[in-house]
Amino acid sequence: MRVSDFVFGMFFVVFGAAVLAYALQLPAMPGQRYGAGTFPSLLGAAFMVCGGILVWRGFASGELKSDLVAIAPWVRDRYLLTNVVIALALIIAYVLLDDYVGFAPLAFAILMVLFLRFGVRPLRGAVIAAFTVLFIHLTFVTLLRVPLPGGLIDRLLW
Amino acid sequence: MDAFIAGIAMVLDPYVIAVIVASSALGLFVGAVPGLTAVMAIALLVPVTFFMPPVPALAAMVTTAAMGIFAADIPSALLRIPGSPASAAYTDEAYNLTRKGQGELALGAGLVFSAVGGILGTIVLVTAAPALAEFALNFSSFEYFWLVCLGLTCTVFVVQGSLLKALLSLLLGLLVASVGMDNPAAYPRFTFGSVNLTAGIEFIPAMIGLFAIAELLRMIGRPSYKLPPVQAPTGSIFAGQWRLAKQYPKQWLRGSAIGTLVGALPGAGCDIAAWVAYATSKRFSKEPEKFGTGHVEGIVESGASNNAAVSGTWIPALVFGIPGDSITAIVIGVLYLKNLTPGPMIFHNQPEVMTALFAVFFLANLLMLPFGWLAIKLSVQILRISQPILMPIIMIFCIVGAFAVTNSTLAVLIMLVFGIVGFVLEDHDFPVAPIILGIVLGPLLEQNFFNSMIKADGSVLAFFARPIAGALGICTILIWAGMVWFGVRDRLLRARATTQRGQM
Repeated sequence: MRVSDFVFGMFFVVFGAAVLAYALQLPAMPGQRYGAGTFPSLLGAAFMVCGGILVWRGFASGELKSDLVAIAPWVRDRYLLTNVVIALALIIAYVLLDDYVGFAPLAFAILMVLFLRFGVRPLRGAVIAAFTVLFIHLTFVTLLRVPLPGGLIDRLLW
Repeated sequence: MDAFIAGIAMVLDPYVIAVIVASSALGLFVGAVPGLTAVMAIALLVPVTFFMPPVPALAAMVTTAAMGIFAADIPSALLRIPGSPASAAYTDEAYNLTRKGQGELALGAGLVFSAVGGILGTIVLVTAAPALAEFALNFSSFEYFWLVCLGLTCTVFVVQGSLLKALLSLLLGLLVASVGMDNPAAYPRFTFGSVNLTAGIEFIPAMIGLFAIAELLRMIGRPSYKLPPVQAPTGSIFAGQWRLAKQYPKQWLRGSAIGTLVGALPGAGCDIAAWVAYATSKRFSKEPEKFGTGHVEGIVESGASNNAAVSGTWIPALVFGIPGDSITAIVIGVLYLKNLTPGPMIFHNQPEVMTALFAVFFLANLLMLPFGWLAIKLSVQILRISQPILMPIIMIFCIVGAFAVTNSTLAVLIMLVFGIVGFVLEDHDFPVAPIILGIVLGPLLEQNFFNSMIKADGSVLAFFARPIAGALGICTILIWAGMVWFGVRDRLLRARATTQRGQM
């Protein structure tokens, strides 16, 4: 998806206004005119100014006559769009499930889904996925002592 | 002298040597594979270096960066696809040489003059950084405030494309930096009651998101291309290089100087150095008409320049804590993690670590010759590794890397959010580098502004009262005024041109 500069600028104006409104509520430091809100309110104002210029430029370049939201080539291509969506969904799935399922099975599953999606042969994919998970386990868990969640395997074993 | 010997001894530790060799392999690999960049590799390295002592951690980053920038020349010459943006300036030149059957010369020049540029850049780093630090010892919060402003200005100024969009990216970075309680008033900002956000947004997951996840999404959202099979160069890589060095002494010296200088400018890294050097080379060449047809002169100059920039970017990073490019922005984060606060005092407090760092720079650039030679010989194998296998593996490493820093799943979520933001912004021509510089420099900017304001009792004039601060301040203001002036003038001229065309 390709959003026009006009729309992007509008977004930044509203966003800047929200930042400014929030920042103005922050208390000043005792005895000073400045405080936690000074810097963010400057940022909010700057967002509004820059966003405003972007809106004006979009307006001046006649963007309004064409589509405000155009479809980028990769969105029109169903296959490529699905690739991006799958990748994002897998990361979200990791965030939601890692404590319950555990790193090793989840990582293996994520790798397999992507391998199959990209047309890697299943057996080959499985072997590579298994090696990758093993390698990460050896380096990060065993060597560097990163407590990647054990999840299912831990529960089955202990 | 003791510090010197201690520093050298630190580098000669077998563990450090092993780290250097491993990071060389990593750097050469990511550099040579189109799409994987040195910045991405370094972002993914941070979680691993997290667990290392300072010297090997820094060694890993220096080596990966140096090797990665060189190795990007390999697919440039063989496939006409730059391995990373730093090689894009002379990709056509190198590829045309290969087509003329002089691939060995193109690759050899890339390799030899990368090493030369890297070493000359390091010599400047070793001599300039401590001297600059000595000078910077007198700096107060006023000078630092203006230095940070100047750094942020350069960041916006050097970006190719829309200044306005670079500025918006920078503002986003500064805003991210202001989340949490780490501000002069120690008041929780933008936390919305979440305890997890009081410490601010974790820098490393944000970076992995911006540089690795966003890149990954871009790659899988693009029609995949199968890399054409490549012919490995069979001839000698080093033959004729000595002759080139004698034929073009001014070119590699100038290239290294430009690289170091451009690298030392905050925000401008290896890719801009290469473009500037290539343009300079063409401008001053005796045979500018040969440029673009497979002429090695430009490769000598810009090949030296982008590797000299790797060293140059460390000068402001070490002396002022102001990153020269995205890679050193990451490095500064790591320096803080290792309790090596960047700033002029670093040379007094940790002289042995600094010696070790400089030694690693020399070592990495020397090792580039044999390792780079090997990478060129193995290029056929490296370029055959298929993207469908590489992409998912990188994604898993991103997840593990983000997790490993704080041992919490929240980091993975932060990585995802920044990945999407980076992907969307870059898709709309917003540059990403200013975001990262904003995140790193935001706290410094605010802190120094507050300290100065309190010292000066609210008087803005005090910001110009000290000579160096005043000069830096005027510089910053002039650059901004210039940018606005030229922007408005261009627009007016263009508007007038269109109306005139309308009348005719």
